[in-house]
Amino acid sequence: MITHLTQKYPEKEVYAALHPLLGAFFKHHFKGFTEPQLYSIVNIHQRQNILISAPTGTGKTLSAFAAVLSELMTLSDAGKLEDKIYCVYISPLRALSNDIEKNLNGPLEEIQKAAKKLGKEFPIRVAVRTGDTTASEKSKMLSKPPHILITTPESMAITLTAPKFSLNMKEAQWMIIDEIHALAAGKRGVQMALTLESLQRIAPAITRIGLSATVAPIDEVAKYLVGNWHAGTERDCKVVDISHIKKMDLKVLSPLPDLINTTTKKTHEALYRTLDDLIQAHKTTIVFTNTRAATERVVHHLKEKSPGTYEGFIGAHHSSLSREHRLMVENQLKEGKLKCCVSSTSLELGIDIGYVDLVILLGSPKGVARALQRIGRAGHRLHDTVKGRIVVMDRDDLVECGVLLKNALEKKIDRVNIPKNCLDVLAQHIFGMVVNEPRGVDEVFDEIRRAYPYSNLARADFQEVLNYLSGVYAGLEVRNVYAKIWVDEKTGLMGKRGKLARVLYMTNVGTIPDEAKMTVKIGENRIGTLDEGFMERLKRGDKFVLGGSVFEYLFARGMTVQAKPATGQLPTVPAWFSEMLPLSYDLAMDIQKFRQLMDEKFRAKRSKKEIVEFVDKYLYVDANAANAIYEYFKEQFEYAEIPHHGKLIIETVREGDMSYWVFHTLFGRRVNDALSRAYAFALGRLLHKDIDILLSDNGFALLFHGKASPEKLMASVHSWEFRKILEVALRDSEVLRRRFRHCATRALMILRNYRGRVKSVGRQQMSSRLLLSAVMRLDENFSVLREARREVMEDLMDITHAHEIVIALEQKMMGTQIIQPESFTPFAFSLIAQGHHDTVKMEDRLAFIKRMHEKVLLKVEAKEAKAKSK
Amino acid sequence: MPKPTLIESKTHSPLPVELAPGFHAIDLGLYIAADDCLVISDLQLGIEEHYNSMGVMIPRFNFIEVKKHFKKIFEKKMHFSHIVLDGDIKHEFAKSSNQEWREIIELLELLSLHAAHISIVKGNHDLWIDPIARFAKVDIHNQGLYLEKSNTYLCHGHEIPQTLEYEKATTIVIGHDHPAIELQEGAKREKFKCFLVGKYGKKRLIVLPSFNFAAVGSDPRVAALSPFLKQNLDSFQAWMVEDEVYAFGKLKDLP
Repeated sequence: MITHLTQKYPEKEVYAALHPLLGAFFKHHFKGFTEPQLYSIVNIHQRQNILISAPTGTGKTLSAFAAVLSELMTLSDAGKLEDKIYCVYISPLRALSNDIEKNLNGPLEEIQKAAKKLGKEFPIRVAVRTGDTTASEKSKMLSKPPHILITTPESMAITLTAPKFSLNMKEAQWMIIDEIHALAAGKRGVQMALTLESLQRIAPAITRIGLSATVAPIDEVAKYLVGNWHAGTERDCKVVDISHIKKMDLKVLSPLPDLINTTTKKTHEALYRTLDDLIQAHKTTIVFTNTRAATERVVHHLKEKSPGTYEGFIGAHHSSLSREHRLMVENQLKEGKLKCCVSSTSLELGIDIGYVDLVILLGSPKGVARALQRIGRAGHRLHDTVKGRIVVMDRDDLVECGVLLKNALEKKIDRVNIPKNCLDVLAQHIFGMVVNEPRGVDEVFDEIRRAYPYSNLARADFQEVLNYLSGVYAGLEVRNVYAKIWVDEKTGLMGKRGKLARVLYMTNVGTIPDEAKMTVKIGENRIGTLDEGFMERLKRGDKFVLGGSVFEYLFARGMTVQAKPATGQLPTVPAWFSEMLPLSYDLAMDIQKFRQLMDEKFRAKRSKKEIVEFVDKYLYVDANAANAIYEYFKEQFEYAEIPHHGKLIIETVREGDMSYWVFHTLFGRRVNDALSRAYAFALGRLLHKDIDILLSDNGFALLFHGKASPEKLMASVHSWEFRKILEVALRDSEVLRRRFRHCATRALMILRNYRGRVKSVGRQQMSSRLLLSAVMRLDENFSVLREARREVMEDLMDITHAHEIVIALEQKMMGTQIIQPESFTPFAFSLIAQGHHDTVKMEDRLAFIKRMHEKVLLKVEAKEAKAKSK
Repeated sequence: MPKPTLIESKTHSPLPVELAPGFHAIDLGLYIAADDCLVISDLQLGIEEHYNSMGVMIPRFNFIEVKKHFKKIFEKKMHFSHIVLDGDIKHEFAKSSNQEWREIIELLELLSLHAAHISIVKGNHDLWIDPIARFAKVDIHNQGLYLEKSNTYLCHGHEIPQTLEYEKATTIVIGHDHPAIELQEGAKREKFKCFLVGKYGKKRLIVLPSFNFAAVGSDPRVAALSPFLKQNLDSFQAWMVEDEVYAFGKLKDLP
């Protein structure tokens, strides 16, 4: 059962639970306990599973360690401290593991010093084990195991397959999982949930402690942390939710009062003036941008606009920069040497960054949890007020950030999506489970279903993964080549195949796909690199930005892109798309509610003053911003209609021979990705044509030659076949191909690391294309392919909510209104200008080549006719 | 191993497409009428085993497709005097793997049901093919094979042969390059295997599409491999192969 703790323990009780020397340490150093500590130390001491959700800098890590250290000290006093692992600490960040060791060894040293005065000693050992740990360090750990082991999820998985070392964990009593909010939402977290069950199998008495930043739904994250006793019955967990103890001073700022009747140059100047003013008025500022490129740009412009002010006092921190550079910037921040640090996502998590009094978010952070996480980096002490400013650049962003701020202040957090029943991770893990010794098939199935993401794994799906692992798909004759495990139906046992199985598992474990970088060249000259995901969206003739210059895409071969300079031309593809975070569905729905309220006010013919006042009060924005929002909605209302969650507006605009159908579906990109592909496919089915898509968080547009009836399209998409339509629409898509590579690598169908050789991403990609076409020929429902499809539809896109919307449209709970304005309505501007472009193929290869052939024939005939007439 | 059975040809098949006088395309094969000879190239058998050895668990699929395409050809024309495999029958450069061995035997048994005579021209991947061929009683040609009636020289194309017969021939047939062309329209791109017909010096040059299904192939305009194709290819004629063979005219005019 999940139980929320609503009462702090009195200080006295907490002190009583701790070893006196540790208690003295808290008293002396911190003048007592922080909120999370008062709530949780006693429970941890009593061996209760617990999830602590609190902002960074509130002492939650030490809450977890306090009870552990206390216990070890008591054991040591009694001469009962043994050479074995008592506590395992797992963190998603390798760098954080080092940080924690420092933060744990610090207090330990203090305590040792105090103990020495009393003639005592506490020989408590802490050790870090990650992918960087050397063999000699490992063998040292084997002979003299640490009492507290600090590790990452992947290293933990490997450690559990080390027969001797895992013996040291048999009596482990605590596992601490840090930054659980960051892990839960991805496949890395799915793998970890399985690993935790493997650990629990070895150490049955272990207590689970989860540490999280603000997260929702917190009960689900608690269930994820503790898993099940057996399928259907979750383990008990206490929840401490004090994520809102920090006071917040938040505002949305618009650099200009009017964001539309202005020039790029003016906006640009106003933006940097705003940033500079804010930074100069504070001691240390962190600026978060949404992309790595923007990070570089901001640093560059700040230096340029105020020469001398920033040189040496500003740093960039993002994941494309080298580890050394990032470490340097982190240290400068900690030491208070930087005036300003600009980051994309890399500074969001963990690492202690010292004193920061302002966080600026440039552009919408797209979700409340992320906004709080970023803004929470300010005021890194318990009672400080957190100060954050969101600076917006366009009117959609203004509305979005207004609602976001409202939700943040009203404590409405968007929910995370924990992936379920991932078959690729499952395959990898099952292989790991039997790598040491044969195990019972039923027992393995039961253990897997104890992990929350597999609570309702179907036996049939489990069986399919076993079939894959035992090489059934490859055909009887050559099965041995493909089999990684054997399954004996008579004895009900399964085991590994091949002598290299353990090495193979150790060197290929993990769920994070290698990020592919394509080299961009002009002839033989290398000009930079592009993300594979971005590249895949380019077609011949597209103009894109790289390193501040514009280039035209020519063609790609292997991992190289050929381009030519397109100086002075406008890019046709926005550079940010592949990196851009999608708007959360919950936040999107709240923006739609706001739209509805505005629609009602305009319909009721309320005065401008009344409406501006409403906006001001409802969204907590300043007068400038309220005014800009009023004008934006007024334009839309007077020109056409205000769409909202009860009224879907479809506007059809014709430009020459082209039809543009704009769907005002403000549901976030994950939902729109699914909706747009399904509707594009359905329209393609009606017209027998390929349909182009424009996509953003606020809606999508279908583009095609000719005319069609939107009513007919809407009537042709039924909720019962929605999933099927999307599956077919994805069949020939780049996104499926790419995700298949990731899944095949996770499922060990493509071994990144084999016989001492590491495959480049380019190699993996080539192999995966071949693999995909082979698999598709054999079996469209092959488990790994099915998983790739699930990942695209459920994790990358949001088919669940998209499906709900189709049902709402069908049952008329959401009305549909089709309008035909002369040109695009104001709410459609940014989608048309910057939406992400994609195509849903309808026409098959055969129809395409026939049509192209006719084209060629016509051309030839025309030529011949011309020749004759001469 | 299953025994191959004779494939019955279906009546009313349309006449094969003519690439040049006396040279016809039947699916991915070239039919030379004067010699009643079928030429195909680049089967690349055993490619899966090669990938397996690199840690990529690709299931066996190529040979299944190879057999499907032979079926398509034999349904159009049941008997030939001569069938020539124009190089790169197998994927591995060095020794023959088990998979290659099994598949080549099965293939030769199938082909011998439909042809009086079978020849193999060695490609750059076929350095170790002799033992297999000796077993299956076919003749093997290191450099190339000359067809008298059509005055045609068949070679793999990875190097320019140094034989009198080559000098004498007026038509050269090669494989090796796996030619395929991408057709583009708007955002749409699709790649098709193709025959290329052009000139090499004064000789007519016919380039065969690959008869394997691991990849469609590559565009010779982007990176030609064969020394025969290191020249301006603008005026080469392309013939795309899908369900049928489609004439697409000169490479420089392609959409």
